[in-house]
Amino acid sequence: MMTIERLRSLSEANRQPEEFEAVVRVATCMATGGIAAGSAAVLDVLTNELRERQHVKVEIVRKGCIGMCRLDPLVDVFVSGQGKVTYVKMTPEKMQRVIEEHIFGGHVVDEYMLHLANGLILDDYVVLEG
Amino acid sequence: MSNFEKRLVVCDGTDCDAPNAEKNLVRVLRREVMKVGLADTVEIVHVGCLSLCEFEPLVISYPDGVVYSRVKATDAGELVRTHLVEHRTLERLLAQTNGLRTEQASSIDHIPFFSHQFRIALRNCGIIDPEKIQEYIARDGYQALAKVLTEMTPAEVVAKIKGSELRGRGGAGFPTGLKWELAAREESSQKFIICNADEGDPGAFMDRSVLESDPHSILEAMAIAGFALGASQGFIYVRAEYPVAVERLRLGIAQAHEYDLLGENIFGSGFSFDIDIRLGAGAFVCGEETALMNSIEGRRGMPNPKPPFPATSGLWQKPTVINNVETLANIPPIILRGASWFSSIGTERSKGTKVFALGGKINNVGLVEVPMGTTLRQVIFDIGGGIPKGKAFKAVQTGGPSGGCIPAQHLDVPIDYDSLTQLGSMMGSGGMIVMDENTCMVDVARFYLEFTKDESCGKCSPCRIGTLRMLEILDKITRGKGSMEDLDNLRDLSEQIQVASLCALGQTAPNPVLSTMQYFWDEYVAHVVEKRCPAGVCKSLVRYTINPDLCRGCGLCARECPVGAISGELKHVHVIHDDACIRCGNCAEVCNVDAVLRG
Ligand SMILES: Cc1cc2nc3c(=O)[nH]c(=O)nc-3n(C[C@H](O)[C@H](O)[C@H](O)COP(=O)(O)O)c2cc1C
Ligand code: FES
Repeated sequence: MMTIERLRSLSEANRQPEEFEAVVRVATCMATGGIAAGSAAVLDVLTNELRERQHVKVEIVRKGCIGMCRLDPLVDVFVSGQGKVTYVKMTPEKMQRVIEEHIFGGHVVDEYMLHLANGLILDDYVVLEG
Repeated sequence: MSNFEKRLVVCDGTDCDAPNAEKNLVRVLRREVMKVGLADTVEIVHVGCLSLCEFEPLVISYPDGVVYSRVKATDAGELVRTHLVEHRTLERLLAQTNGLRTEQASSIDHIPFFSHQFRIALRNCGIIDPEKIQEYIARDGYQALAKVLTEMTPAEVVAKIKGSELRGRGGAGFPTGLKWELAAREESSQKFIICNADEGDPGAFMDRSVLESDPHSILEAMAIAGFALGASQGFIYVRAEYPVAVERLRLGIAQAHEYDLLGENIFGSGFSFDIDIRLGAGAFVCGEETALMNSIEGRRGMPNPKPPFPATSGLWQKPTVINNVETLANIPPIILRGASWFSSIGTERSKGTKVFALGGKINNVGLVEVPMGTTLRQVIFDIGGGIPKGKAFKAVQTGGPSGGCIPAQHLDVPIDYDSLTQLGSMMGSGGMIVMDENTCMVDVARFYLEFTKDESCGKCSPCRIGTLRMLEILDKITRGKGSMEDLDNLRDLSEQIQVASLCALGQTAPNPVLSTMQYFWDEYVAHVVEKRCPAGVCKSLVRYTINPDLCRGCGLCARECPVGAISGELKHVHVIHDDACIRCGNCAEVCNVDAVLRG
């Protein structure tokens, strides 16, 4: 039977830690908006890549809608000790680069981050030629 | 910027425009950077459209975010020397932008889109994994149910919800506590609680997001309601077009059973409760509570006259409470944080928050939750980011097919149930569709009428026949065949349908027509008297022409015309051939110098 004590201890046990130890956490929106924008394909790239390289422990989190559907698929990457980086309008190709450069390489891919001008969200920042 | 310290981002719109002269800008900048010996530290990238088109060609310097506008290849040397070598800003090229700065946000949490919001119903959406009950529990999930079952009596629960002054979020805004009280008072061996997840308004997806992103909040709230009313069975009526939501609800119910949070003797309190899912086939009218219950009982989804109200005789003639998804999502926080906490948020007669699905001509299409009393302007401009492409705001549609269009002069009205009704619209379930200057309000009214005509269940004639007659008149007007008498008839019909229809579908169906007539009368008159569509939308009334003074002969319109109705040589003024033109408007959409005229 469920009791209040058990519910409380479950609640404690499942709190998300502020910092992750030696873990990379990748979270994306898997609500209808995110799925329609292609988040499943983006996660597939990650899952496949991780199967190949098992030395870095990466946790994949499937979340719901945060409301910023315009920027879907959104991908949050938490690397322990470095806080959270949100990538917007992701594609399998962009994810591949984030895996190489950020998750395994330690460099944030800044053009895939959100860009603002006086608080107004700009369109994404696709490098045509660099 | 992996290996570089600085980066110049060049955006000249050349992915959407033809002239490639600006490409030189990238090349010239590279050459200048090399000249001053910074090629290894400064990276130069050419990017796609940033929607800052009014400043193009532009150069943004990162990490400082300074934006230089209207940069020509001849400015490159000075820009590199001043900004990168002397570390000063080049004022001359800043003038246009009023010192605009861009920034890269490493996380989306602190952008204005979120900082103006207040999340109660959406508290867990996008935060937890909806398929893991543990994550819901970790954020105080099911604590409210525990509190209710172990510390409170049903009457206390009802009193708390009443005290919070929560009103229904499904459209009508009926006080939730009162609804619960009416059903709780009934003596009956069986009662029911229904969650209305039919969400039929075009463009609305608030309820879907809650179900998909935080299903347990609804299950917990239904169990709380069940306890308060004395109901042991709940139903969720959800449309089959929401497969992800249905799947997560099924999984959620199974998990809740596994954890003994649904089923027999929950928390050892003696209270038992279970929830079943019923799928709707997507008829708008099935969102109406009596039609919905008919549908659950296996009959055709048609409304019944009220009274009797569901609270006294609902599903299988038993006392029933039917609440909207968002209404229910507010219940657990009210139980945990108190009625006075909730009623301290919002306005005099509308407490708490409201979720809106922003759509149409708005930059930040998405889902937002704001305290009641927030103004339309704050929602549309501060959170929604305003209208794309610098176009002017014309109206916002709230309340879906039962609501109306609110024009610019009322943008500063605080959003609550009463103020929106006063403006001839209504709160509705939370769809908010923004329209810009290129929207024809007669066409908008026609769109909604077509929707209600299609969705009318046919049981009563004012709605079945009346909406069809109204649609015919609107059709006539948009084809340039209308008369002033038709406008009078529209008004007459509207009033009759409002009073004579059986359910609120018909009673509110004329609202989009009446509100557009109220605020955009001139547009109706232009269609009828001048046979002109001022917004250039109604195909029979619009002609596209090219302004020879503005046309640069880039050829983009000719390339984008699907029927080859535009001719002209490169660098020369182009012409649209009216007999071939199908009035799709592509040319006006793509023209970078606004040379295509509609009228
Ligand atoms: C045509 C029509 C469609 C409706 N569609 C919905 C709907 O999709 N979802 C909803 O919650 N309420 C809908 N309603 C309102 C319901 O009849 C009812 O008022 C509501 O579910 C009550 O819940 P609340 O008090 O929590 O708002 C609709 C009403 C009408 C007349
Ligand atoms: S559906 Fe993904 S953020 Fe809305």
